[in-house]
Amino acid sequence: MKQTSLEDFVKIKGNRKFRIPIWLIAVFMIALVASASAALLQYFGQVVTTVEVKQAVLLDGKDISEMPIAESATVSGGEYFLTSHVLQSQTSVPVTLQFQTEVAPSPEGVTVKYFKSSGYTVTVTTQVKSELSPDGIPISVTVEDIGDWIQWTFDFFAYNTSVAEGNGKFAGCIIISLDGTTPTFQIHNNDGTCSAFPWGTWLYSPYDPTGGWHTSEADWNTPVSDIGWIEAEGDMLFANNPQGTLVVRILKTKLDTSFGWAVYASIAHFSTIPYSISVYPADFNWGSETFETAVILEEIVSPFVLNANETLPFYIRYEFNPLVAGEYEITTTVTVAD
Amino acid sequence: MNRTRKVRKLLLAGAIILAVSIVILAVAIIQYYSTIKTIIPVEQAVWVDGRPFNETIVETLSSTYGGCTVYSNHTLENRGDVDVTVLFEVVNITDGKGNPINPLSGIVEVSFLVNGQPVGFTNVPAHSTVNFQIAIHFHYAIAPDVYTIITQIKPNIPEPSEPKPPA
Repeated sequence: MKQTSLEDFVKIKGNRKFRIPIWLIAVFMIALVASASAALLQYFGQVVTTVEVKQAVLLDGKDISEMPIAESATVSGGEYFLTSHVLQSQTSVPVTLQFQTEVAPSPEGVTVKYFKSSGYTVTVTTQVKSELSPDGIPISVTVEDIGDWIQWTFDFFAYNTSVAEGNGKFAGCIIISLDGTTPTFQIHNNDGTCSAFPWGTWLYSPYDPTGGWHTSEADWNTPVSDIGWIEAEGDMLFANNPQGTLVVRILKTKLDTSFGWAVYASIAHFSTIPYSISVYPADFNWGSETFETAVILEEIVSPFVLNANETLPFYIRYEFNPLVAGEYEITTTVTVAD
Repeated sequence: MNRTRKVRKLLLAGAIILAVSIVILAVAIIQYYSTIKTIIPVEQAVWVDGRPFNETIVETLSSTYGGCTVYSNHTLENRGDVDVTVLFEVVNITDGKGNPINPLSGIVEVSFLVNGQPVGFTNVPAHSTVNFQIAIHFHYAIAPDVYTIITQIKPNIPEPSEPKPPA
């Protein structure tokens, strides 16, 4: 029996043969197979998921679309200043970050470092100046980091065992030394030192490196209420302040990563509580001031980890060499460290 | 005349024989006694969230942050009589401008969870329901945007194996 060849199969009348290319036959076969398999589902279901993703870490509450954050300052060569910012993690995983600094036109003479709070807190007991108040009592002073501020809280009744009565007065004074040795300024609730202001007025009085203190002079005193970076609360009079508490706050950015502080306090005009003058440190004296050192900021070394949902206040400290002058543009970029 | 009659008889006999032969032949080639045409609508075995394959499930999740993982919950229902193994597959990931994102880049990581465990496939027993989650993790450095992820749940159809040559 003669077998029918593919050529015979495609033979048409008139003895004319049309040769069908092999590739066409292959395509046909593939299509045939495909049409057979098309009866099987390629998938049972399909899910289209849309998610809006926000930036994991915000700087001062802003995302990249709101960058850069611009700030400016005018300083003299040899000076420094600090600015305060916040990194805020919105994410549930730790993020490794780093600070990158660019200084234009030249980084020479400009030092930029990044710091975070050290969590400084200390409570001290003042030393009674027995030569001035032999029967005096000490007070308690707590210094603590409360975010952007360093806060001093005077507790005049911490060591009092008498009933507080009479026309008592509380006088408190904080003395700051930015270099730790030379006074820079003091904040006091005028105990009559400066007659230009009512008693009890909270005043800021800078130190004159060449002339010492001018606390009694009106031109050397500025009401704290006129200064944005100092806050002071607490009335001098016991009648208005029966708790015997005075509070003073100073913005960290107006201090430094470390500085010296001292306090001078007096209690007077109580009928039962003895007149008391006390200081801290114990050897503090006007004219030969000594200071307690406070390290309130510690350097952030890049790269560093921002933990899940952590909020990290940080400070940029710009310091300029005494020989530096001109306009500088300093750019800090917070990037992801690989 | 006699010759004519003989011819007629011969033709008649031939016609009868031919007719009988045709009948016999016809009886011999019957292939079936009847025909039954059956029409059965068949629906897919495994349904996702109660929907057939041609109804894409579209969902918009709550906004999230880079570094976070979001989850969407779904169900697989096997309405058939045999156990079915389904495969999970990420088809496409795009950003808000439609730019594709390589699923292997780590920028957007998609995984499928059954009973809280990451799986690439799962068995859906006959006449039962299996819950699964699509877990989408965004790299913490990802640019804020709206991302779209397309996933498919596929039947596990083994490729036909080619015959092996004799050893």
